[in-house]
Amino acid sequence: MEFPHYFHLFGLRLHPHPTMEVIAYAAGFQLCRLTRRRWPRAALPFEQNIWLIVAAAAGALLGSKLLAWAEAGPSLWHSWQDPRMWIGGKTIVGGLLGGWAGVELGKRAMHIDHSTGDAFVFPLILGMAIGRIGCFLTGLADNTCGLPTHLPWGIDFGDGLSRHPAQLYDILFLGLLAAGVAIHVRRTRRRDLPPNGRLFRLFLLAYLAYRFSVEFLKPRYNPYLRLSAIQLACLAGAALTLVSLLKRQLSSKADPVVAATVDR
Amino acid sequence: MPCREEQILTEQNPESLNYAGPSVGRPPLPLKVRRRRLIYGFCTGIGLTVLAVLIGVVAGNGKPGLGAVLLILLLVPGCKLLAALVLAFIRDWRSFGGGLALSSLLIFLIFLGTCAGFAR
Repeated sequence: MEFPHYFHLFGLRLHPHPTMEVIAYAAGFQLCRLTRRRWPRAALPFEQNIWLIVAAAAGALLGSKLLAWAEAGPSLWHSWQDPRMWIGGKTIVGGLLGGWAGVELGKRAMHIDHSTGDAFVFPLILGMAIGRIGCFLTGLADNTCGLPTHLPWGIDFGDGLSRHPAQLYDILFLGLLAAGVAIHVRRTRRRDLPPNGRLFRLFLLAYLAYRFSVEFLKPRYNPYLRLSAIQLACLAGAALTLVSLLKRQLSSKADPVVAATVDR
Repeated sequence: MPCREEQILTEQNPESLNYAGPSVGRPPLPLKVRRRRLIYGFCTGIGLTVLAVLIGVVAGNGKPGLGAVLLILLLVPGCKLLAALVLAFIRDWRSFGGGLALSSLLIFLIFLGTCAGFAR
């Protein structure tokens, strides 16, 4: 198998990364339409919903670029005159945290005070897993391959070294996470608990913890206390999520009805 | 001459003030129309970008220069986002503006570099 593994469609040679991303967004959107019907509290007026998605996309774009620039470190500053350095690169962790921030700011601006994130957990998992197929098929240029390894499942991405297929680990983890989330949803449904953003936070916490760990298997620039920018963002994001979860837990003990409506 | 009490009884009641809320405005457009406008906005956004890319490719004889690429990357989405922001304040065109903004952001998200590319 050659990397990058191009797709050939109607005589066109398509790069796997943007192709899989288009499929990921389309599939995530379709799943989102299905799941939102099951989360009646997530229902919002049409325009508000659209602008909330715009806020999420803007936050995701900003977050993913900012973290990619921080991850690039001195290589970015050394060749700052080359626009390709500024254009290239994005990270899922930055996208998730930026998207979350964007939604919270959008909700504040539109005076929406109930949780909207739970309905997006499954679409996010699906989109991320499909996107990671694109990362895998892109190979070395994507910078998501792991360190060299002697393990039997190591893959040669074209540089003659057998490497950890970190993108496939991501897909495997996301599959397990989806199963865990599905079990959690079934239990909460049985207890008839209203969605209150806990599911989204649990998903985010699990993914950030996983990404923090798996980054040790990747070649990385780690000047910050021997950690990379992505790992620092994972720690900060996990701390924020934990505080938010604890707040929610405490308010649910005080008043379960209020807890279901409190989002911030 | 009528006494004071009779005068009060025969006086007409002063006009009562209308405390009702502001007059009810035009109802919003049907959901179907708003959905259609969102799709139109989204398609317009994609179309504008495709047009800009084609012009860039033709102008650069198949290989657009870096300046042209940057112009496409900054000018076209910038104009689209500005237009979307203005449309967000016009009630009937909010969904069209949303579609325009979404197209811009999604194109950026999908085509702006691979994961952490150029890093390290």
